Amino acid sequence: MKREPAEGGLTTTYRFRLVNTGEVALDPVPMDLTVPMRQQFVSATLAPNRIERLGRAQSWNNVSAGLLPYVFGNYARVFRENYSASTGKGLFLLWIRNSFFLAVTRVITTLIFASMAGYALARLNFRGKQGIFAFLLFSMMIPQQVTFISNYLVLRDGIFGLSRLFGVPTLLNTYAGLIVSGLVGASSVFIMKQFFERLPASLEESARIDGASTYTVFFRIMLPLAKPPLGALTILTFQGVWNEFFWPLVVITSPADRFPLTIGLLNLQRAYGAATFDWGPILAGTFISALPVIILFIAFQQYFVEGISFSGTKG
Amino acid sequence: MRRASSKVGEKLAPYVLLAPFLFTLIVFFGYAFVRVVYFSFTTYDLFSKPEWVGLKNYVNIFRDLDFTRAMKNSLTFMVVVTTAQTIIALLLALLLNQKVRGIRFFRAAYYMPSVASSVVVTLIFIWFFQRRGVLNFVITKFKEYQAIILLFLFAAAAIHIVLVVWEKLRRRPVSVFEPSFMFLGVLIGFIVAFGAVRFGFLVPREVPPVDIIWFNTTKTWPDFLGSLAFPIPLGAIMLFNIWTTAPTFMLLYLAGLQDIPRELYEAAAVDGAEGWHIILHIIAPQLKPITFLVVTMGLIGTLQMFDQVAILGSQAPRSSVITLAYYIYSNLFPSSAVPRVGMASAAAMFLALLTFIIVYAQRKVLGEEGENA
Repeated sequence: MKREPAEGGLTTTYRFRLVNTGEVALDPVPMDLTVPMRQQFVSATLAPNRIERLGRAQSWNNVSAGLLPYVFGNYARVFRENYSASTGKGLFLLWIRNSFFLAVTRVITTLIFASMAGYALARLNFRGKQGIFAFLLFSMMIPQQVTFISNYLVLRDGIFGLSRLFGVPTLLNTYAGLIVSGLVGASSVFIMKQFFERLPASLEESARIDGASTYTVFFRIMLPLAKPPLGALTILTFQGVWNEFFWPLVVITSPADRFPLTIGLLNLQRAYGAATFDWGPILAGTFISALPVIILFIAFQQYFVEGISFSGTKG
Repeated sequence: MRRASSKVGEKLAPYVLLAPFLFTLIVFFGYAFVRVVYFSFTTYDLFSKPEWVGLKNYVNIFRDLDFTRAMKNSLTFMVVVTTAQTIIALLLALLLNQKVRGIRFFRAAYYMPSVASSVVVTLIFIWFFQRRGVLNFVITKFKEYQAIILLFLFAAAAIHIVLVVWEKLRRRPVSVFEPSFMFLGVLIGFIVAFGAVRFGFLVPREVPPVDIIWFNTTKTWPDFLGSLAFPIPLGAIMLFNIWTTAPTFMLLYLAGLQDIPRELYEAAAVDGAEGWHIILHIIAPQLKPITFLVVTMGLIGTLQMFDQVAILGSQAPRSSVITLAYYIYSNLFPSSAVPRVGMASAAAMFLALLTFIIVYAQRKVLGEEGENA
């Protein structure tokens, strides 16, 4: 150790020795150490993947073997260092899986139920149609932050106790809660209604004359025609669920295993930002979580544009 | 020809098809809305039974300093962000409506921040606005090289203007923004600036690193506005929010611009209109409905701002960033107190009312516009 007076202070040079006891050979070792004051590295007893250690001995985590592991070190850390306290599984992968699961389920329910409701509202005559549609429009105007107060309670009580029939006392912290409360959005129904309204009446009439029931007409004739809006709806719903933040934040609070990716990222920020901000893994996680929608966007640009103009009509 | 036995089934069919949607609509919207209205007249802590208190909550929220702050923050945020993002979206759209090679790439690139989730962009934003972050670094660098940048801009503009004036004097048809002149101007400006540095006429200034604290501060800006000035952390969120939402509206404008029939431009060209005249007298009236749409969506969206505040968390003082939506949330899930559902509901009703007024006003205006068109 050497101290030299320097401009406006003191430059201290430390010399230390690294002993690699792991199995991986650290051949060329690029190092990036930020050493907090009065830090004892020697006695760091916690394993590197323990969240409690983050922010205390973070600098050691940057030691990596070779250039590539160094460059992508933060990405590896995101997966390696976030472990579930209860199951010991890697959290980040779980979060990605959860988000995928939620997004896919929501896409499926939305496609089915939105086209059903959209078709009924667009092409069938029944009592209360105008009223239901007006109600739909009204519901699109009221912000989510108004109704979530009651929705939270509804899920807490298991939808008026109905979930008890399945042996589940509360739907908070469950995917069932998220799925049931988000079966189908009003705007998706609106999009499908707009589409079905534009189809010519002759399509339906000939089938009706042959005596086909409403269900046959819907499933055999109308639904196959609805591929373009269903495609747009798939992309938009997937993106919407993948990015959803507010409602999952309310419903899923613990355990960390069940978080979707957005809430997981918030968790990540808290973990790595606890002492001093360790931005590497936070930004790596951020990038990974943005990747699917970016890919979707590049592949299906047109749908995104349509989507805005669709949601634009809701105003 | 229909069989009699299926008649009942046919009658019920619409309701069967609508059932799942009606379920979510009634339970998670209708019931929820009515219940929030009811809660707003009660005191309730999520556990014991709600107690009817009449209008007390509505009086109390106005006595709550947090609520008035949230109200002020939300409204400031709404006005500033909506105005700025509408203007920027329009300018971007005009810029990207060019028929230039690779314009699709630029459109996609500009739209990118709008695709990612609010958590993603907010985390990047927090990183960007750190005390030793990217933004402060860029500002520092800009201050250091200020003189050189100014010299470059000045030289480039001067060359460009001289060339344009020269051509005009010789009565040659030339656009004010002739690209080849612009290129020449930039090139010569660069050479001049580079030379000035190389031969020591200008040196980067020594400036202390810019040290603006963006989040952890209760300061407000700008000073001359007095009590109307907004807190700096909120200003940071505004800057960022404009950047992420303007592209969405840019796409709407772009679609509108491409809907304008070519004949209009051609007719204008015949009449000798150019530049600003085209924008003012042809494009602007055609884009009016879209502008109304963009403004309404902007107003409603900004009024609901929540994610940024929640993700920022304890990094910024609560009073500087709290919004209506966050006020509702934090009253329902306070970190260390009994949940105040009544207060939250009253505030929620307030938010709903504000949204409603905006939508209604827009309908009124848009309706009248529609008749004129």
